[in-house]
Amino acid sequence: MHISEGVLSIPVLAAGAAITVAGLAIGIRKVPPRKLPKVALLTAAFFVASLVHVPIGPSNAHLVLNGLLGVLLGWAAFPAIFIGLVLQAVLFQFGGLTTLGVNTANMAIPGVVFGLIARRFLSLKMPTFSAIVAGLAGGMSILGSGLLVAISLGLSGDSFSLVSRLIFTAHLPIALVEAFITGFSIRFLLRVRPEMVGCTSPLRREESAKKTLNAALVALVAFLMIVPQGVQAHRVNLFAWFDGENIVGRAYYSNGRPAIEAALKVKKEGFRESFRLKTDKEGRFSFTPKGPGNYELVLEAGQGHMAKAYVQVKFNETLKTGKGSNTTQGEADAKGSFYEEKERPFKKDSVIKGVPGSIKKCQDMEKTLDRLLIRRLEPIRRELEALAVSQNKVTLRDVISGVGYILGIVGIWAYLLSRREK
Amino acid sequence: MTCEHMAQGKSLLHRADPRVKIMVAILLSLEVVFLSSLISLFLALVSAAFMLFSTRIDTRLLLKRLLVVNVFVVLLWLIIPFSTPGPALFTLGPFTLTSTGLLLCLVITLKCNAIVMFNMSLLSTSTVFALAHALDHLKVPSVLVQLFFFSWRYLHVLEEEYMRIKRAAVLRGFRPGTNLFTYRTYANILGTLFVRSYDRGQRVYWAMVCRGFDGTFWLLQHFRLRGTDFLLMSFTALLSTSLLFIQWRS
Amino acid sequence: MSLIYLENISFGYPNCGLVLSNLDFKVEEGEKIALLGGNGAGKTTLFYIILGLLSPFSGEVELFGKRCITEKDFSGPRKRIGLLFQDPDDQLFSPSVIEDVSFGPLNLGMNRKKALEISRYWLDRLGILHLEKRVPYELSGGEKKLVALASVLSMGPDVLLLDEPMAGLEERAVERFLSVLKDESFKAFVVITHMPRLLEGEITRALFLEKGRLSPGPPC
Ligand SMILES: Nc1ncnc2c1ncn2[C@@H]1O[C@H](COP(=O)(O)OP(=O)(O)OP(=O)(O)O)[C@@H](O)[C@H]1O
Ligand SMILES: [Mg+2]
Repeated sequence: MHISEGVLSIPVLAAGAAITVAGLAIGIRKVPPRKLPKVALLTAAFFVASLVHVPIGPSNAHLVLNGLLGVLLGWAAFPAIFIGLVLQAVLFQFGGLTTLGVNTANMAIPGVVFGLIARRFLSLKMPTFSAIVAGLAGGMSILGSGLLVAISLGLSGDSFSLVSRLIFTAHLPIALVEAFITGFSIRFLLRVRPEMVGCTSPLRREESAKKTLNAALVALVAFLMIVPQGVQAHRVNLFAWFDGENIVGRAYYSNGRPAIEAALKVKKEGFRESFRLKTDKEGRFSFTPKGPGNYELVLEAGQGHMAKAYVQVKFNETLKTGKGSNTTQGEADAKGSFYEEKERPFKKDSVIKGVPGSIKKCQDMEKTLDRLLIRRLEPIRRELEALAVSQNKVTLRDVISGVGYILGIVGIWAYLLSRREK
Repeated sequence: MTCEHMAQGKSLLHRADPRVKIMVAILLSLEVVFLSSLISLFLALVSAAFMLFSTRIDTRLLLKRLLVVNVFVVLLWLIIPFSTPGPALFTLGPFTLTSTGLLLCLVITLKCNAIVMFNMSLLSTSTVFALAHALDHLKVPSVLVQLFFFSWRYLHVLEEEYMRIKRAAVLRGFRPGTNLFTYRTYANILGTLFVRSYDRGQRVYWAMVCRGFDGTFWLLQHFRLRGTDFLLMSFTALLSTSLLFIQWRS
Repeated sequence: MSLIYLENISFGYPNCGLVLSNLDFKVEEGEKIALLGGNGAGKTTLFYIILGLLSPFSGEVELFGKRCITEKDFSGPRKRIGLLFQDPDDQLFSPSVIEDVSFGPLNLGMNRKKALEISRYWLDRLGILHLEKRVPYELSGGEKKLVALASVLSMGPDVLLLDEPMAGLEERAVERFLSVLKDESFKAFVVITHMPRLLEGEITRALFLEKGRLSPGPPC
């Protein structure tokens, strides 16, 4: 599946391009002049195959065959797929220059990984087993591609979460068809031209060890690309705390935008009934809880975005005297309604109200104030922590791009090295 | 099916130096990716459309190609406005249409079409061989360039071969359907195609070796910059700076 | 010294018996040979063996008096023996006809100008100079064959191995081809053909390949 131009974010495009440069550098080194026409001819054959429409139920799909390409060409599948996409861009205007890197990486990485793995199990003596292994590789390559496409979209913004899920689902039936076609093709080739699958000369141990290493390397890259998807699973964040008076909090998406007018469900432990309120324009909310206990807050921001928070409400004994008015207010509220929505969670003057007149009690008050300050600062501290956590996610994205860049630089270096060798 | 329909023509862009066209296409595509202001994107789209129509390629062909490109974009329009968090415009059952989502869709549509149009008017107006030559002059790794033009060279041969095999199968009563037999038949047809390409690749290499090939390719075609190219370059310079300017202002 | 000397050659492809078995073949200077044989007899395979593109199971290949075994041994003689492939599509891969024809001369170390000059000469000799700028894959079957022939001749080979050079050629083209064979001073040539009558008068002997061996063919 191609991703169109203009959709992906710049870091994703850059990472894709860097990975493709690295893959091309490795792939090119696997194409000596002796093999060049063969690789080119197979590239052309795959291009033709990709124009073939195979029926699936009422619809039809065109073949990708990146798994078969990986089995037949190994690392050289990278340049082959790249060339195929360039030709498509020039001849049919599917996709353009900026997505070339990402699209190549998405198709070639699973193809090369599963192809190299499957190759180790192919043998002339067990054609059916070989066909099944190749078929699995073919199917897995498509699934892997679908996953990478979904990830590329997912990393480009929260808006694409649904699209990426849909696209991944659309890959499932294609994977099935490709599995069959890849398996049958390998069986055909084993019968007709086994040397194409590398089956006439038994693999030397050295070589196969090297191949495993290569496969492991690629698997690592793929793994690095998949991991952040899990980290990103919680799309909306909810932070809530008890400030000694009200339960206040803020809801925002992982990219930092507030969750505006999102529904918040509040439940107190031991109570059946719940009540609802909405966040304001800044994603904030505030209400007065009824008495001490544990409160469960559930935020629903639509499209399955959900977040939970638990708040423990405990009226501090020492504070109770200082904030007598609050307690009574809370009790009074409890008679009327379950909660009270407030514009401002902080009432600065309410603290000063309870100040006793005597100097002796001044030190006492200072202590109280200190404790109060710590309490008041607690939410800020927590928010800072939360911010650090959310920043962490951004860093993970950066890590991926970073890995891409490093791979790209390594690739360029490898390419220069290969030039010098000649 | 795989013809260079768009490469035939006598327009200014058809005659321009493919090296210049490739560089311009890369520059403009990258720039459009970085743009975010609607006005600059509109300007990019309009100038891309202008370039495309200046090639005087058959409009129906252009529209058909653009339609295909926009299938994915339409899919996005159906989903993104509802799945993007942001201020709600209106709610329809469980779906909430957000202005952020609409804006995102608009940006994507503009970007996608602008880039594809630049691509069409700059790259598709050259023959693949001209592009391959140009890439070689631009110091793209020689293996890639060779793969590029070899693949293109044999595309037609293989396509014909595929059509022949397929036609033979159809003549013998093969009707594709959703069943294993169909898939196996396709696999055999494709397998035959791969075997033939593999053998042909072998023979092509032999033919090259027989003519003294030792890994180097010789370039005979050389490009010279002409008036057209300088015109294209200055147009690009003007366009890209004004795009950047608008982007910074907004 | 024979130009080409094969002794006791056996060869077969994987999973199909022997194509050539204990075959002997000798080409002396001045010989003009027609190689005949049914489809699938192994004529093309024999050419591949001569040039070391396929290695025989057993037997010896000697070219210009030198025993050839490794890839390196063959690279010298390959420049002196011109092989025309049965399918011209195998041979033509360049973006333009002129580039394809000058591919060989350039590889021989000629400078660009000289290479172009020679290429044009041969295109003209075969009557296809007007195709110079065309793209090879867009040509007709016969035109491709002539371009492929020009690309072999432009290397100035001493010996020619031609695999069905006249298949698909019109009468005038065949005439031009025959005149090239007659006028140019090749040391020897071997022509695979299914139409020996067209070569009447141009050849010194005919050979028939059957069951993996060569036998003297019908005199033309
Ligand atoms: N790559 C290959 N793999 C397996 N078998 C092959 C291969 N190439 C040729 N053969 C077989 O070897 C035999 C000899 O083939 P060859 O091409 O030499 O025949 P030929 O005499 O040139 O025939 P024609 O007159 O049809 O060109 C044939 O039976 C063919 O099926
Ligand atoms: Mg033959």
